[in-house]
Amino acid sequence: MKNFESTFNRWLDGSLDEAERRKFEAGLDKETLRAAKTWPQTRALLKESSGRISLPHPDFLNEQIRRAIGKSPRRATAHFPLRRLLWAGAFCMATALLLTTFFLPPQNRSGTVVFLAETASPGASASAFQTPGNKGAVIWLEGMPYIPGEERVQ
Amino acid sequence: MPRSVFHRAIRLLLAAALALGSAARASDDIWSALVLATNESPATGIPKPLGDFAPTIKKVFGYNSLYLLGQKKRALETAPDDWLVPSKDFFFRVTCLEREPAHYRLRLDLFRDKELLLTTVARLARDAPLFIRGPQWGNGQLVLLIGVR
Repeated sequence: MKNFESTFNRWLDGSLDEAERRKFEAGLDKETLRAAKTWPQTRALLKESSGRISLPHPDFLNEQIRRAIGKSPRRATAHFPLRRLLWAGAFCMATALLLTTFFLPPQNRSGTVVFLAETASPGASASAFQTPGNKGAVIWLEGMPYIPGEERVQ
Repeated sequence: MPRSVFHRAIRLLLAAALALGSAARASDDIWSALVLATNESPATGIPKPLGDFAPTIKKVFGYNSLYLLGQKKRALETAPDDWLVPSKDFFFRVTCLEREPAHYRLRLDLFRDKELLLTTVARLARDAPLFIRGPQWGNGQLVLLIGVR
């Protein structure tokens, strides 16, 4: 690629010998060749105009630019200023809290959890579930013998 | 100089946290209550000890009136077996299997008179009670509460 680039530059400058030029032009497409035909004129214009553009009072302009730079507000150069770090920390904590609240299974949170519920009463069954807020737990005994209202419970 | 002050403050904070933690652990109690839940119109007033639990009982069991038939509170021991008797009819045998800073793992046996009704192993967190739906009684439902405070 570098070789092509240097040959291309030499071709544009017209410094290739005849054999090299033919060989190089054989590898180029038509559009590139057509565009390259205008290159000598462009180069001549650039040569002609170079050195013509000059600014009046260069020292004065330099001084003006220097002053303008001096007056412009300085930007913080630190990549991690304290305020940005604090915001980043707060964001991380909020994210961790959200993930803990919504993605951690209920049994891993600090609430009451039932691991085992077995009833010894014949015909009865026990099931367990969390209360709506997931903080407490319920054991639901089904099929327990009914206690008549007249019987005293104390 | 500021660094030593900072270190001293950190040490004081740690000591305070440890003291508070051990104090909290030392004062843990287990509490149990036998409650009769009914539906009445108009609803009766909620007994004061059940104030925190009434919304959950209403939501889970669907009753609007509560009667406290008995309650018992005692220090939560790590002894093999302990008895918690909120009423003469219904009572618990409590075995503390594991004690951790935030909760207790307990084996609970619920008895009615001498009959074993239920055996459960549960992790009880502070102020997060276990509600047990007991048998129907008259026109209401017996609910047992057990929790660590």
